[in-house]
Amino acid sequence: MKTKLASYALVLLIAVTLNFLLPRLMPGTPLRFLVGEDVALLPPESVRELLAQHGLDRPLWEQYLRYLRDLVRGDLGYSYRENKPVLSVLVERLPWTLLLTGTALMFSTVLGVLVGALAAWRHGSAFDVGALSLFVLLDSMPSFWLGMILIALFAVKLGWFPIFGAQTPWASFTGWQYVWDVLKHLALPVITLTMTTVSGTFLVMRSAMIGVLDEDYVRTARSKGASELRVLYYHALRNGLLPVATVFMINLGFVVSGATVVETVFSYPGLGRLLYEAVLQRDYPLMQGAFLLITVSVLFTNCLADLLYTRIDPRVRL
Amino acid sequence: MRKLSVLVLVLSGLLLCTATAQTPLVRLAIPTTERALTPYTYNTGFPGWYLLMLIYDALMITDLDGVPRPWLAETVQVSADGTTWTLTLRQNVRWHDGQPFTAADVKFSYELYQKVTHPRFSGPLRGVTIETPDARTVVLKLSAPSPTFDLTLADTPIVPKHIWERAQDPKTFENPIGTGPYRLTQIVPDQFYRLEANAEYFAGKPRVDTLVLPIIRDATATFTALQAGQIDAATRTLTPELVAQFQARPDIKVISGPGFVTTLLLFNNERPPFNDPRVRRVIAGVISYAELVRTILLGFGKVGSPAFIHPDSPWYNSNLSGFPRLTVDQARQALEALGFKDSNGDGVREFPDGKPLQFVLLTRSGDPVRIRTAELIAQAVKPIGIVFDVRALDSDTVAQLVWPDFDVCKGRNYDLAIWGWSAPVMTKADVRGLFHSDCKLGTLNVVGYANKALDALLDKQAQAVNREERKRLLDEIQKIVAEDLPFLTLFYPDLIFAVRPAVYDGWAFLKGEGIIHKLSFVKR
Repeated sequence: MKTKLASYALVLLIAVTLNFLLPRLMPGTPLRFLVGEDVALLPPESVRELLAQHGLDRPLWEQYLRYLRDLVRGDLGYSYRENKPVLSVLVERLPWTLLLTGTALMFSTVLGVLVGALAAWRHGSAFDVGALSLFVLLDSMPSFWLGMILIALFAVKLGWFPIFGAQTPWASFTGWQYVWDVLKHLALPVITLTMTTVSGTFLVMRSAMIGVLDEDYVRTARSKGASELRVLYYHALRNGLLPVATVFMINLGFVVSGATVVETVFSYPGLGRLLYEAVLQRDYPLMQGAFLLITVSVLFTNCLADLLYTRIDPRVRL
Repeated sequence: MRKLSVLVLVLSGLLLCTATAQTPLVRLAIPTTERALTPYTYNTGFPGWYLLMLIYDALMITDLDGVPRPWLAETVQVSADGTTWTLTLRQNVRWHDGQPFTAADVKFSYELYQKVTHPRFSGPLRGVTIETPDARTVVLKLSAPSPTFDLTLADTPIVPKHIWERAQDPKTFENPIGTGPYRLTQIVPDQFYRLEANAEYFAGKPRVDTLVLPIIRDATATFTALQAGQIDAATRTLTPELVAQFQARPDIKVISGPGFVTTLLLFNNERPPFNDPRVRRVIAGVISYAELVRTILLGFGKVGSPAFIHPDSPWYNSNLSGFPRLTVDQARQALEALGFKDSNGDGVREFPDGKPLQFVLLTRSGDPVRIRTAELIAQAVKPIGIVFDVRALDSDTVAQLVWPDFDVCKGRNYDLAIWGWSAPVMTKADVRGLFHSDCKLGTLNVVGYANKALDALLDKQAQAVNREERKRLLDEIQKIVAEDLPFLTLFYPDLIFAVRPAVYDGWAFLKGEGIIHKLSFVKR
């Protein structure tokens, strides 16, 4: 356990260092977003003054040490783009991203497990082949394309859903009305995200179940007269779920990174879009903060998965 | 009885009139965050500054022709030597919190911009002293005459002294109080801004009660939302390909007009062969500017002027003869005479030392108009034996190569690039910035152009006593630039907007800048 924790700490340090270095290795400067687009009108001496203000004129190692020092103090720095502390920027976006990617992960896991188990059970049937083709097709669909098709169909043609945003800006809803409004905005992005991510869980579930259904204890359960559904969802599913749990934990770690493409297509105010814009705008502190959040959450869920494994699969020892 | 019914008719007619004159809500999509929308925190030049000026006012305002008129000031007088500007402020103007607006606010704001560097507002106020003999009078003393100082007066927002003097750090201070036609009532980060009409506005209550500005990042989503009626207008301009589709719809109105944003071909004036104006003239001579406008902009644009200044700008010299025109044969002969021959017969000319005339033409990715422009130019120079390799890189990388750290004094690292300057460069006709050989003055001279004779004229126009004198000098400057062609102004794309006129149709087109500005909402 101790070595495990030590290795996590090492990984974290490496990740933090890369977080710092990678943005700075990209060509371009954060200047345009430090001062807005009007930087073209700024005299060079003010440019130098600005760089100094943000410590960007210091040598790289000095900036790095300062970054580590601030990090230890829990200070993620100041976002150039938002002109606010990075932490508060992240905290503003986090709920929306968790709502979007969390809901989608839940749906895609449940859907993938149920359909995957059924397909394995009916292995080789028309249902299995049909489901397999459908999910492979979904997997190959670019999410921005699917998103735009859904917008064109359900938002524009039928007018059932809004086209953009996470809530109606010109309405001041409260209570259930507000919840309903948020759900309506959530629907299309969640459907897009679910459809384009469900195949992973489905494929893992299906192949695991095909293996499990051949096991002796399944035959035993059948022969002792348990109903088919009980065999499937009680006896077989529990063991078939093991690899799915792995996939789920990996996905869970990436929930906070949001879904850049889907968030952009639907103008959803999540972390993925924020991160993408931070990269475009060379907002170093914001990039560092967002990547750190993602790194920590991936490491955390990995750690959690390690611990949970000993529970769900007693064969595993830490 | 009849009298009464006539009266009722007239009254209801009046009611109807006032009802139609006032629009309850306009949803205007913007593409990105403008942070707290204060003078120090707004993000983009367009639409950011224009949205800022819905909340704040300046002493002057540019009318629809781009000419500055008094606004918060009632009168503006300039001394004969052009260095003393005396302004009488409008009476009964109040801040959104009810406090009266006075000369002290003007002095405080201008001194704030002088003290705390602002990319846009600080530079033009350098060396200006502000005196306030009484609460309604402001006397501005300039260290040298500035013929464009009225544009500065129209550009610089005034903030309330009683609030901003409490600001610890103006760069992050968040407070929405201005004198403008709208109050900022709500910001939901990365989602929307909400502005409510200021009923007490000195120029009358604005014609739209509530302005909601949703942030829609994606261009396609923006125009889909417009077509579906989920927004009523967008600050994003329409691309020419979409115009026909939008014009065909009865519920959408397309508004277009001249734009002051430029599309340029930059030559690195320090690198051979582009250090030779004769080579630049040959290249200029084989590009068909009208074809660029026709095929790339589908006609929604104006052919460039060889001296940068837009024909719709008041500073344009209408006596220029345009770009040189050369046939392929004439261009080949000209290059031949300059010593660039194709000695190995591969279709590409070489320098006298044998290096081929092959150069990288940089352009930013994600901008199809510029990529197509670069490709058409590469095609145009190929027949005369010059190769331009078009390379599309992300816009920050291109900027870093062309204009390292936005500081011309740091040099440049490219052969050729497709580039553009935003509208303020044209509005001010900032020729000194564009062409001066001293990198401290020629802050936009990214091509490294140097012409000592021109430098003197550039200095003179910057300190001309009045507009007439400056116009005369600018005419001369444009003639020289049109000869030297340090870069090529290829075209000026038109600004095209799409709106839903049934919701609101009070939009006014400001020459070169578009429909997103104060005068689209305030009674003119």
